[in-house]
Order: sequence, then C-alpha cells, then structure tokens
Amino acid sequence: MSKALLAALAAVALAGCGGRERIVLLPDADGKVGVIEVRTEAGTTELREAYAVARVEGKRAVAEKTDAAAVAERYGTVLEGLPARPQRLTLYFEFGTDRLTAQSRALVPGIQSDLRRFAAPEVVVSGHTDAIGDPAFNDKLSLDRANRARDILVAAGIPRDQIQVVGRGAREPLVAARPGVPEPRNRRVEIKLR
Amino acid sequence: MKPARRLLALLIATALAATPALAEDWAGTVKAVDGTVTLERDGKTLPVAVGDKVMPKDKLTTAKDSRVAVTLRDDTLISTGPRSQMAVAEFAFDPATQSGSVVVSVLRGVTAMVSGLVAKANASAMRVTTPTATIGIRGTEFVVEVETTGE
Repeated sequence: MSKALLAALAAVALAGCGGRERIVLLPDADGKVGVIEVRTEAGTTELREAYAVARVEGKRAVAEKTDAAAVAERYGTVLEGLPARPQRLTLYFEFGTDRLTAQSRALVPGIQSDLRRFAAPEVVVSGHTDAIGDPAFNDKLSLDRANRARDILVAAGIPRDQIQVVGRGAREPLVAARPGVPEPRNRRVEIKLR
Repeated sequence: MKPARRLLALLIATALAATPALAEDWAGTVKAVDGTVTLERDGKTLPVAVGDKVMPKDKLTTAKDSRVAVTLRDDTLISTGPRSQMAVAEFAFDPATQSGSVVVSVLRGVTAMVSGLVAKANASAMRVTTPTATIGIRGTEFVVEVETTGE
C-alpha cells in the first residue's frame, strides 16, 4: 500500500471519530497576546504566542503554528464580523457639585455622534470614588455620580433605555492612592460605548 | 378605594417594582446578523434580529453564507461564521465588582472571540467548550473551529 493511501485512510479514520477542532490564539487589537489552555481527555496544551494553534484530533491536542496570512484567508470573514470594540471616555465633576467640569462638558456632544458607530448601541455609565469613607458609602456615592451623568446624557439626547448605570465605588482607582487620602482624579464617571 | 381594588393596585405596584431586578439577567446583545440566523431558547426556535437580547443557555445557529455577532454584558465580543452553532452556555456578571463567569460552547463551525471583563478579573472564570475540549481563557483574542462530518 502506498504511503499516500495510508495517510488518506488515517485522515478518514480520524475524521470519523467526531471531526477535528482547531483553536488559534491571535494578537489582540493592541498587538498583545493572551494565554489559552486547551484541555482534552489526553492532557493540556497551552498556547502563549501569536498564531499558536492547538489542533484536536481524536482526543489529543497537537501544538502547531500558523501565520497572519493563513488566518486572514481561513478566518478573515469571521474576524471582520466581530462587534466594534468598546470605546471609553472619562467625565469629571466640579468638586462637591453635580456640574461637569467645562472640559468634560465639552465632550458630551461628541458621545452621541460616536455612538452611531455601534449597532444596537449601549452606553455603560460607571461612577467611581476615591478611597475616603467606607465601601457602602462609596458604592452609593459612585452610583449617585453615575445617575447624574446619565441624566446629563439623556438631556443631551441619548435615549435613556440605551444607558446602563453602575456604581463601582473605590474599586477601580485611576491613580494609586492610599485609603483615606483624597484623590480628586479618582472621583469620576467613565462612559463606555459599545 | 375598595379593598379588592387596593389589593390589585398593590399587586401591580409589587410586580412593577420587581421588574428592574430581572432587567440584567440577559447575557448579551445581538450586534449584527447576516443571512439566516436562528436562536433556540426553552425548546423553541426563534428568528434573530440586531438589538435582540441573548439569554444564558441560548443557542445560535447560522445557515450557509450567514453570520452573527454578539457583545456580552462584560464586553466579551463574539462573531460566529456560516454553518455554525454557538451557545452562551453560562453567563453571570456583577457590573459593580466585575466578577462572574462566562462559558461559551462552540458546537460546530467557526467562532472568533475577544474576551472581556470577566476573564480579566479572574483567570479561571472564562471557558470555551467544544465537543472534545475545554479551553481556559486568560485573554484575549482567538478563533475556535469545529469541523463536523456528514453535513
């Protein structure tokens, strides 16, 4: 029997046990590469490099490598179909008030036009505090801030039912600060469009 | 107000007050539909349009020359190609803490994904399953292809 025929028979045999699977790790939009771990009954294969492939045949995963051109050829349409990446911006209030700073106020009209880039647009408004006060107080304060920002966006013409409001408290400081130390740059509202 | 009517008003008020709590049990939003795409939920097959909500356990199926795109509530991005099937098998997300769990099943065909806040917050909280593998996602962009025979 020829080698080619043997190989063909082997391929048919493998295809017969449930098909084949491929997992391909890609660089993200910033060029960074994550890590994925492919577990099958036969063991674990870790992918850490751009264009690393785990090909699963039968119960085994085999590590392989591909490249940008082959990925574009095979998966280009699906990758182009990914939803638009979320877009973020930050709004600040004048200290101790519910008025946006002049700089932040100037950003509001642009939000509505940026939102047109997104299909079935969603706006997520997240309020943040600095690390003064207890967590429950900061959760409420951050939610109040987010609600005020939402009212400003609604007044600017963004439909209320497109907006979700979140209070993140002091969990996500923009700049590092010790608990109890005031940090005005962390008192903010982040707007995410997606 | 008669007692019966008062009771009815109270029941309606209670029902309305309870609605917001249910408002965020959805997993994601359909962002693009090309061609023929259907959704299976509770044993029923439904048509899919841009803007529809995807619920946990929903299964999406695309026909030949069709595709569908979904953004999950934690910013996970999903694009599923032609002759494919994908399910959001499990989804939980607390926007305040950004903790939760995401399990997507790629049952056949091709699905590309960009992981979101759940995978970022906890390296073991996001998984993709295929008929033969379980894939732990520690970020971020990847493609999963499941070739099936006899179609």
